[in-house]
Amino acid sequence: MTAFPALTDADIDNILAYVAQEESKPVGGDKGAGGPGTAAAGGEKDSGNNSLLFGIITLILAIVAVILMQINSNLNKLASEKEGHATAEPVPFYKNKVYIALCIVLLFIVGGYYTIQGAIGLGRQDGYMPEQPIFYSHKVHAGINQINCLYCHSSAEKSKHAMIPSENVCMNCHKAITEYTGADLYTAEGKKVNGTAEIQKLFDHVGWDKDAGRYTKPGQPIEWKKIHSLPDHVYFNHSQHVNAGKVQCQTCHGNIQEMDEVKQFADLSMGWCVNCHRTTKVQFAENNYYSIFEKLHNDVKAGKVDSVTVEMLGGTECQKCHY
Amino acid sequence: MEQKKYWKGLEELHNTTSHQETVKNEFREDLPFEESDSFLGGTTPRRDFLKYLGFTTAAATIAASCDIPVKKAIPYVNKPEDITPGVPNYYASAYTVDGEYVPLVVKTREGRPIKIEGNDMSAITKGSTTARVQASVLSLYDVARLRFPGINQMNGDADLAARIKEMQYSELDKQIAAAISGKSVALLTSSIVSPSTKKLIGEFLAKYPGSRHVTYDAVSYSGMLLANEASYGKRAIPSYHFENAKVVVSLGADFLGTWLNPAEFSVQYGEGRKINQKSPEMSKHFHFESMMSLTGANADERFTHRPSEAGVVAQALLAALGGAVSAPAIANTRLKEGIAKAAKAIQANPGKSIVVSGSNDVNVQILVNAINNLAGSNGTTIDWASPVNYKQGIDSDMHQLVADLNAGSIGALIVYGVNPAYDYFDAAKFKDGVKKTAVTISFNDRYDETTELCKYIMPDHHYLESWGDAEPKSGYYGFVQPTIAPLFKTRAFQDSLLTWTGNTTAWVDYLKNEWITRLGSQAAWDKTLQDGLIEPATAPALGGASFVADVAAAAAKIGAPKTSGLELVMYEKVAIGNGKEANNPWLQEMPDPITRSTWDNYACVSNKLAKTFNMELGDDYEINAEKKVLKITAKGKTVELPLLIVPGIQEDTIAIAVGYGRGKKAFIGKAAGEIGANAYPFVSFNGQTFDYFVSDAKAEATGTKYAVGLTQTHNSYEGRPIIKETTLEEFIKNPKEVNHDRQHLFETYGEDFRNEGTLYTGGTKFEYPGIKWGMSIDLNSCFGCGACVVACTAENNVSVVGKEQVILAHEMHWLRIDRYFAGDENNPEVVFQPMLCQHCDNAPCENVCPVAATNHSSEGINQMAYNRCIGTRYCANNCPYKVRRFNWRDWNGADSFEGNLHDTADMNDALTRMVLNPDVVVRSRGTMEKCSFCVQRLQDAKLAAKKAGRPMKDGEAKTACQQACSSGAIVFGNVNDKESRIYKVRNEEQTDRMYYVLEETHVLPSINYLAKIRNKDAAPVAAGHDAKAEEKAHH
Repeated sequence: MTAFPALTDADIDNILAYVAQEESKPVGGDKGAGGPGTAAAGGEKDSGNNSLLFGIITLILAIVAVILMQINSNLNKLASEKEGHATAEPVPFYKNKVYIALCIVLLFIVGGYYTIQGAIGLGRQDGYMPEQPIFYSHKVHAGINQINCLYCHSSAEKSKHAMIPSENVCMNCHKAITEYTGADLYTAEGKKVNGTAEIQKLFDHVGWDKDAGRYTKPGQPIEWKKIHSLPDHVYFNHSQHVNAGKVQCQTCHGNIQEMDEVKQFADLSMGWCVNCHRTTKVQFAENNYYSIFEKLHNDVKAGKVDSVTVEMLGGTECQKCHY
Repeated sequence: MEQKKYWKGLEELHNTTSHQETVKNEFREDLPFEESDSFLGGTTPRRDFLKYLGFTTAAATIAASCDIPVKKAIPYVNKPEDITPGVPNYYASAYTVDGEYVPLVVKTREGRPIKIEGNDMSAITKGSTTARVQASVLSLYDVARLRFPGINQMNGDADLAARIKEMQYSELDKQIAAAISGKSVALLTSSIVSPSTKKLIGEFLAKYPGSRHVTYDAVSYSGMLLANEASYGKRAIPSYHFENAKVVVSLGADFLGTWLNPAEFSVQYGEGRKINQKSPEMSKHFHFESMMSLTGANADERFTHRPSEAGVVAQALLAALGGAVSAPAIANTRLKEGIAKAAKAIQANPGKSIVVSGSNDVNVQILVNAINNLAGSNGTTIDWASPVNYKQGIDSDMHQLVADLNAGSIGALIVYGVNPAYDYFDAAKFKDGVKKTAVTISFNDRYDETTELCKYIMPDHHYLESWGDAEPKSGYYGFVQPTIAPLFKTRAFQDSLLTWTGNTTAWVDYLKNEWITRLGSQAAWDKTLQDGLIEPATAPALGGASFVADVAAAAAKIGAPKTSGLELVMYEKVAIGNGKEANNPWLQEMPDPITRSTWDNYACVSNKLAKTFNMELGDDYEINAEKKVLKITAKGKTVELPLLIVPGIQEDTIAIAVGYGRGKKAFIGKAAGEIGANAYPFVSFNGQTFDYFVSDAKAEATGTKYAVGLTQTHNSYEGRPIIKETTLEEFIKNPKEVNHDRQHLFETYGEDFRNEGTLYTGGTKFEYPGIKWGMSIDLNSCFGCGACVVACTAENNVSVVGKEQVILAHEMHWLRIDRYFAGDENNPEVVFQPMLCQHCDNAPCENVCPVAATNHSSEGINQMAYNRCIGTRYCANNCPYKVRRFNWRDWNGADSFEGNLHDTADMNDALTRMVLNPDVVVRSRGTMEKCSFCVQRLQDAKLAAKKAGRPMKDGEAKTACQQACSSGAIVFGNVNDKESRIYKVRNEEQTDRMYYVLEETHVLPSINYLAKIRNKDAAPVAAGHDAKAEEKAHH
């Protein structure tokens, strides 16, 4: 046990007193003892525990039901023996058709549920965080040094691809910045990273001799591992979202400015896309493109709708993304 | 007015039992399993099925449990400033193959050319293209192209790899320079429109005394060139202006399909065919020909004659116009009346007529010149101030060259872009001559029939990889710039010539220097390249010419026509042309506008002639792909070709397309090699020019059969009225008449019936709050050329299925052009109707889909979600327009099981796949697909407007078919926008002709058609007939 030599005896006494006082308070805080309000609040908070409880109760009831059925059949058997009826040999438990059917149904439901969940999850890779050829930290660049995302991913405004920057973009700064002097960097596994050595990897790829201050070898592209992949049958356009929709990068990519290593934030599933399209408001009044939607403009003016979402303009239709 | 009967083929006209059967079973497709009497004894019994089922389930489970493969994302080292991945770049260039000139804008994605559009800035073509131009982007990625230079090993039967020894250019240059030094060189090319190349050729030839440049066109226009020299003192072809002509008379010139430069003429001709409803007016087109050509099919009045009668027809027309020739006797009264009628029309429109002839006979062309001279066409419809350079070949030069080669008097033969060993009429003699020549060099792009004989093989770039210029007409210039770095170790023809001339300048610098000198500055050159052309700011005044030819002498030389026996006529198919670009699966699969057949050539004959071969039309003639094979003999040469009955062809004529019968697939390519038969050997040399017809032909049935990939019986309308047409006279008299049945709908169901009775909730109309896309197709200015079909194929990654699958009606074209005949089966009228998904507002396909893979968008698009489709095909069965296409096979390698792939023409080679449009999904097996209104283009146009924060402009979103259409028959846009062209066409400009196909079914299509109008005398029955009275009598 950890010793706390900094604490005096008086401190420890105070802590114990505080613990004793808190323990004596009723569950649910100060809102008043007991009452329906407390129960509801607790229920909402602990719905996970409750379903476990319900599960256990269901299981117990099921077992009780099975036992009762067994008793019932035994009593029936006894009764008919007593009356002198010939009874068939008792069917063993594992050969009972009712049980078998029940088990199959149960297996089918459970198995089906997991199969479908598995199938839906196929190809999804949220949380994917591969090791990249160079330990490039978005935290250092976009977070600490406040480089605008669009400085490197410049075509996010213009094209369907946000584009991984070409090496000449890296060299705009790294001609001057040849060593890493910031706080220590660690990989997800906790290994320490030598930032200067990682910068040297860039120089090796691009063929830059930092001592001579010039390119000495032909450049080789860096083979990054692609993290965000959409299926081929999905058309996604960055410029549509960044430029026309004014969506922040972080909405889909998470707090990228805090990531040393990039991790896939969203599952990029269709449900995820569609949910956003259902709730996101378009720049309806600001962007003159939408001036053709006269009826909707009138509805907004008349207060019939308070805002216009992507969905209201057909943003959840198949051929907005699939063609 | 009684509804005209339209038919796709004679079987439909006669409604044979087989036709009825086919129509009934259109969607029936038996499983590809063999049937067997014994249930489990068959070759594919149920047990096997269960085995496969078990295996695939297990395999899928195992496959699914595998890790997701690691994908790489590799950026540029140095990103080119002007390339943004995902954003297309456009470069101006020009198509100048064989002298045909079409200025272009080439769309490239990530450095790959993927689509070709016409250049709107050109006054010559006004942004139009042809099917061949559209398809030429695929030829860039042709796997049969030669990939390196070398020396031909001339080793008989070896395969291609062993035939050419690869060499470095430096080594080859040394060897060739030594070999040709001091020799007389013959440079054999097709028509070259590039002034700089011509200048360079001049410099090259000057270095080798006794050398010459011979221009040889496989399909020659020498007759015209020589006739113009005799008539006007200029060996040139004038500019034609069909748009200025009230009367167009064509004597067998297929100017909308293949003659000179169809992209230019379609635009002009289209101007004369558009109808302004307020003052209806259109040109009148007479056509005289032997076979049925695309242009003939569009004529108002069409007359047929024997091929040998072409001269007599011209003479008769000249005589009827009062020319100084005697009127020849013409036995055929219909033809005779036709000539008289045409003459009358020409006389009634002085200076507003144009007469063109497809004949290659000098004397016939002199007579045609005389006709135009008499009619006052020079300076009004025929412009001598800017003659065209499209064709320059003189047949006698080529004939002489072949003689000289055989005599051994040519030191070195250089072949560039021509293939006489295939397309010269006496190919054997040419081949002998080549063998007798010491030094032979070929610049051809593939190991074709001529290259096979040449020692040095120096493949040239594809035009999309080349630098160049063009002077299609005096004063008009076009520029060719590379849109991709050369794919292979090819080198520009011009670079070779420069090297061999001893000039160390690179061709690109030579060209640049040439133009910077002319234009004055680098900036001007850059601007020129950006525009892709230099044209006079205002169109120069048309120039006349004084006619000096001896007409009587020319007339005297016209041979007497044959009156009996069969005659052959050789023609170019609209898609294949002279055969140079035949190895193009898109072109091979495009159905011929007239015969609606793919992947072959055949003997076109009339119904009457077919009967004389003891070939009963029979009950199932047109249903079965199997056609009886004819053995055709003429000039001592024989070909065997399947017989195809083409209504409207002259009854003693057999028409055969050139461009087929090419060499081995391994050399020519998988698409063009070893199909059809070569018709060029039937061409003859008359001492002055080549004749493309032969008299005294013999034909007999061989008793064998051959399957032709016909599409005409696919997608039957079962006689429902889908075409509306009238005559100009009738239209002026009673404009509403053509749409009288539509009026009937209004009367019965109320003016607003389109908005009532919807499929959607609550009986209210489906709402289109912002945009509602709509299209209008003018049947009067659609000529059926097929440019839209190929454009659609290129834009939407439409699959090529190959002949065997076409026969099974599995072709994938999202847009097809239906060709209907009407009237007399020996002399039918023709209508072309482009048919594509109509994007119905009450779409019958949508509500039968069990998985809602096809549904309706708020912009009126009938959407198709491929990834949702499970392939029940209910939608296709329920589509009244029959425009849905099912992927019966894996045409594209989209599902990664290799054995599934069905690839007949190398369309799945990694090289060929570079042509795919990355914005459109490549569909996999088992899914349904159809026209999407080019939704990727619509989304792109909307996005551009959104980014700029402005409403979308009309015309910003264009479909591929609309953009490719030379005559502007297709109008597309937002119907909700009252300022849009489409709104105006429908509601203001063309209300009388506007109709929807099968409107009475109330599916509410988003595409409307404009009724066709023929400028011909009304049919005798209809004349003076009170239509309303007749209508009443009906009820």
